[in-house]
Amino acid sequence: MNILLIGNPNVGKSVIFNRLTGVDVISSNYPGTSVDYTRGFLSISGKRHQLIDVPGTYTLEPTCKAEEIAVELLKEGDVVINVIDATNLERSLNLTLQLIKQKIPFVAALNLFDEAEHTGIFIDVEKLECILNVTCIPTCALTGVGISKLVNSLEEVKVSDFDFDNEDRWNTIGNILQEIQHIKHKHHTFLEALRDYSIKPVTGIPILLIIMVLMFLSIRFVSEGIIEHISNPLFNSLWTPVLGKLSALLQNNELLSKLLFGEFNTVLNYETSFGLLTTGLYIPIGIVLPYVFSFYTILALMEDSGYLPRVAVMMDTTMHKAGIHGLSIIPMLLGLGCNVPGALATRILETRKEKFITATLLSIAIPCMALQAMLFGLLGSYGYKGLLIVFTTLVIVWFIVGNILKHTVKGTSPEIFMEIPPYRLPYFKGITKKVFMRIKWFIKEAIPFMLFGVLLANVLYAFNILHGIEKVASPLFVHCLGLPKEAVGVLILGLLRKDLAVGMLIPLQLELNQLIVASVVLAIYFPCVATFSVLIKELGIKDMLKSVLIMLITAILVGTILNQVLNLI
Amino acid sequence: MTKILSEMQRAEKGIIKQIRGGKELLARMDSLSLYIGKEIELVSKQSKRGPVVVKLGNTQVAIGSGIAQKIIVDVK
Repeated sequence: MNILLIGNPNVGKSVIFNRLTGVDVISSNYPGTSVDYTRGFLSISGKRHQLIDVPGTYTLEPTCKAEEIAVELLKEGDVVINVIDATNLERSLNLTLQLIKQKIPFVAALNLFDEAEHTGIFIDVEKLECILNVTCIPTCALTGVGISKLVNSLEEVKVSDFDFDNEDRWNTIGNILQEIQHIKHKHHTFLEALRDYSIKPVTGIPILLIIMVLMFLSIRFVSEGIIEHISNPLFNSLWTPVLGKLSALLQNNELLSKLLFGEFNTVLNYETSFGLLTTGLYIPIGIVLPYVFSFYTILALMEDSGYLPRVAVMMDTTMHKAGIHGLSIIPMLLGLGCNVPGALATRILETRKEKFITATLLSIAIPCMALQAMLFGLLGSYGYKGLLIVFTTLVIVWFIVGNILKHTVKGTSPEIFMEIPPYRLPYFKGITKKVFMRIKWFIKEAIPFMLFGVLLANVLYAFNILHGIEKVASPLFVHCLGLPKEAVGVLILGLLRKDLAVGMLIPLQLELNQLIVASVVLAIYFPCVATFSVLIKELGIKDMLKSVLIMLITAILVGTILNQVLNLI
Repeated sequence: MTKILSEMQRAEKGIIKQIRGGKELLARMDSLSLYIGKEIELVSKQSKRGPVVVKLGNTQVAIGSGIAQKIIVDVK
């Protein structure tokens, strides 16, 4: 039997899905988290059934892609669990009535039932059952209340015989609500007051700025704390002795020991030695992982509290300058952690134009945490000047390229039109699960590419392959960008991992101005391989090639101009 | 008094009277329970051409300025 979970966006379908199957699905407090659907299995009295988590939809007459998928999936289902938002019965019942019109057998789960009572909404469930003539079960997916009852109810699912005039649907719903819903007026709660203040421009924009600064400071504080107090001591006290013993064993094999440990004579430097077991493991685990961890923890708090859609609304006017609307802030923010989930999130955007612009701007001007972590290390030692120039340049580039694309890319960008969910207190398990899954993903993506990159760098140097490429590209590098020709190799490795490439800048002993130009060019010129492959899937090859061309031209132009400007100062 | 949604003031309440749009817009509005006869309250306006946020029942919806210009409201 195929069981479908159907309901409005952001009513807790994914949490119910997790409860029923134990399969991990990321849920967030904003609409459209599951544009993709997920399948899992659950057993009812010994029999295995397939459960499908359908993307949230407000209607069975699709108005966007997620809704089209939902309607398409409906054909596969034998029975439906209609997840109803108890805090928002009117809108939820609209979908329920459409299910009834199509004669689809279902049971209704009135989720967020406890939250509804908190806000003063009381629902007579028995009366609702009487009117609709289907099973209705109050649930609270987060705590698990009502879930086992829901599973049991699936043994007997029927088609509702409730009759109504489809043209007069809202009136019908109004009449039902009058009979079953009782609303007690309550005083404004703290969360409701916050809800208003955080979206009015006068108070909302200062709040947004404060949150962004706090986010930035706490990410640096937490990550640097982890690096200094956990990862460095661990590497030094546990890993260094192991490496020492290994290198003694491999003393006679020069090639192998160079590959594994890189250049180290007396003191081991994890950042510059460039061996598979030294730099290849230290950069992703020792430096980047702490940053990725703290970034995603803080982002998860913002997601689950429901703050992100407010950011989208407040950023809407700004984003319009680049021809995209406020919702594009979500891929951009995710991309600050790692560009791969950012690229995947472009799926929530509807038109080709929006996707193309968002993906291109993401690749050009949104440095991932890995790159940022290395930049903080590299440029941070010179004070804030270098970092300030790099990030300001990227912001300016974001606006200029965005504005050019807005006027040149064909197609339309729809306007923002979305529900803003209420604030909810993030729950611990949801946060840890989400952070854990994203870190698992990062480790799976980052470490293989990192090791491969270090290996490739060593092979390229060992066989002098880079010299040929350096010769061809050196006029561009030396004259336009003011960089030594050795930087060509850095950019080639940057295709694999940008953090690795920044690490390779260290032994070149560049001046601050050169480091700034190199960092900016490295950020702009190309997404890393992992992001690139996701974007090919999302945009198609033709659009991706166009996008890459824009990136390369932007990188050369911006690098050249920056080099000239910095030399003047 | 009737007003265009984008011209409503903050905290003003009213009832949706007319939606000047095609079938597609009507369907999208309908799906978020913005239908003719629905009572709404303007929660906030961003900049001049920015989106408006309206409260309907227990939820809030952000509406881009272009769409907000197509919605006529009977203001109380």
